[in-house]
Amino acid sequence: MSSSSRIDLPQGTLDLLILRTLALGAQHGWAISQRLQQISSEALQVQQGSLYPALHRLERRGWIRSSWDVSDNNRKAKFYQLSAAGRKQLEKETELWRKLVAAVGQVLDAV
Amino acid sequence: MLRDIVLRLRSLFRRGAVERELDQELRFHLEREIARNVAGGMSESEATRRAKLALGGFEQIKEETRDARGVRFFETAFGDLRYAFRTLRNSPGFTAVAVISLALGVGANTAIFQLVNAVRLRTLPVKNPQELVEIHIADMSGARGGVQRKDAVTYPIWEQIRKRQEGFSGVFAWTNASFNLSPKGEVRSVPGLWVSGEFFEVLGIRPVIGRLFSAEDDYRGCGLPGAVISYSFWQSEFGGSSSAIGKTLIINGQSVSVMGVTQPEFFGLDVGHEYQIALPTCSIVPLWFNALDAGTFWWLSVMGRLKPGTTLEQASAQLGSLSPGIFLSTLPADYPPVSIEDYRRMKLTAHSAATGLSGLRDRFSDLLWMLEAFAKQVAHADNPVGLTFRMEATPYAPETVYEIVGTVGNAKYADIRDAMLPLFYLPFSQDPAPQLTDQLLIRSNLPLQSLLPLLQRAILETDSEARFEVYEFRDLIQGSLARERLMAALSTVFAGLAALLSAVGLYGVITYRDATERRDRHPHCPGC
Repeated sequence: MSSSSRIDLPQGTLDLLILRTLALGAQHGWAISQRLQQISSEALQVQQGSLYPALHRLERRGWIRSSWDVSDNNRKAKFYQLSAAGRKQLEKETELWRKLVAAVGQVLDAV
Repeated sequence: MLRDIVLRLRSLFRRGAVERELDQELRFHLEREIARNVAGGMSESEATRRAKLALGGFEQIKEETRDARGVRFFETAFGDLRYAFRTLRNSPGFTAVAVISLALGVGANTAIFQLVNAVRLRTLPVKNPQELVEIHIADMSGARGGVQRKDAVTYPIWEQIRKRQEGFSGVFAWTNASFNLSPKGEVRSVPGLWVSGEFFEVLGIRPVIGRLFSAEDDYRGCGLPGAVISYSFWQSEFGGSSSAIGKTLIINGQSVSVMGVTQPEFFGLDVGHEYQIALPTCSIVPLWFNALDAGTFWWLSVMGRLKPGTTLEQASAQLGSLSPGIFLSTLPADYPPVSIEDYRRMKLTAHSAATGLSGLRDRFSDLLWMLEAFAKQVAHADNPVGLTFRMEATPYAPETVYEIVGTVGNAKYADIRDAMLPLFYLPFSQDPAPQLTDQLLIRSNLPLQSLLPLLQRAILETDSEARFEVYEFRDLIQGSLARERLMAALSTVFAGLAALLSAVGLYGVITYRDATERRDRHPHCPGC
């Protein structure tokens, strides 16, 4: 997969994607990045490094929680999971996103 | 939100742990990425290179994560502070100058404020000072006899005020005094107060030990029931010991026992006159003379506390309506006939008193109005020698005719700030009512040290019971100018300070600019 066919992630949507990924279960940072690549069939260009600032920001806002645990390869890793508030935020942002997409799509189709 | 604060605090105060955790998290990520690449068939080195590329720089991620943690401001602030301290430590001269400038500036401002505060702004340390009111006579020009202080009344007038007033929940009378504590010989004066019995009650002053005067202590013929002393006097004379109550003081040669001590904050009612000993007004009889029946001895200031619901205007009007009755009943039998109408027309009024009188502002203005008539007469003659003038009768002397025998140059009288008053001088030997105290002016070319024992011997040989005080005239003048000298000294010091601070600031600005320019001229050699 060449990098030129990857789409750059629009500003602010990374948070939404992280929340969605975590809705499937608690994961550590690396697993989240792998999952994002998998789900999008590697179409999305997520600079792996930008994941961690996003994760810490989400944690501060109370939408995800972290805890240290042992990972599947027997190493200590920091796991993240969705909080109740995070679940609500996910629903809200998903709704907003779909509306945005629909609206933009309408404009594009109309012209 | 609580979680947010907790996390921010943790980032702030447990930075080490948080940094280590982040480092661990990123390393874990890198390891897994490398492992994946290797599993995909890459070599160890290729896998590592690609993984690092994909993840990005550790430091940059850490930076951005720290930003996201929301404590960036504090972290940079702490860093800046530490840098500032290091820089200051490296240039002690500059640091010293900066610190001293700040200290001087802050200190000067504080000192000025405290001075102004003490003299002007501080209200009386008494209960509800805003309810306190001064009662005095609106126009004192009808007063004859000895006016001891501004706006004072006689004891008979005070008694009538106390008896008849209605607008006040309490009234009291007081005046400043100076008491001699030395049993004989050279005088030891302390500032004091004459107070009526209600003084402490109405003001709401409480004793620290013992008790204070009450209305029952103040009656004609009370003798010397006791003295109330100030907290500072208690500390300096009795060491703050509770055994002070009942101890004897020698006041103006008589024994008086200590009755109680007032609170430390209470200094009296006169800013600038901190009292040490207070005596009830009825005690003036054994200690001085019978001022209680003297209708021409104006010595008492009167104050009152307004009744709740009564305004200052109402109380003042009420006093005004009581005035004709008061002055009629207190008119002295031997009052100079020409002034009787003026006396009966006097009116009492009330003024607010909360900021306290200031001894620094209080001035004894006596003679001017008494002598104006005389001055006008004399001014019309070029050479008044041989002219005569009549002096009206007083309670102490009949009407007297004086002949002018000479003139002298103008001189200042009581205060160096006053204008040159019109004065006439009368010889002691003609005084029909000699005073209890006299002042001798002695000119000598001996220094005071050697003169003093000679004077003492001479005085005591004449009268072994005499009490006296000796001081240099120059000191008196200096003392009377104390306020001006203080202001001049302060102004000089602060002006010097301002000049110094400006010079220092200017120097700092110039050297800083110079250093900056030098650095700009030689960007590669900052020390050039």
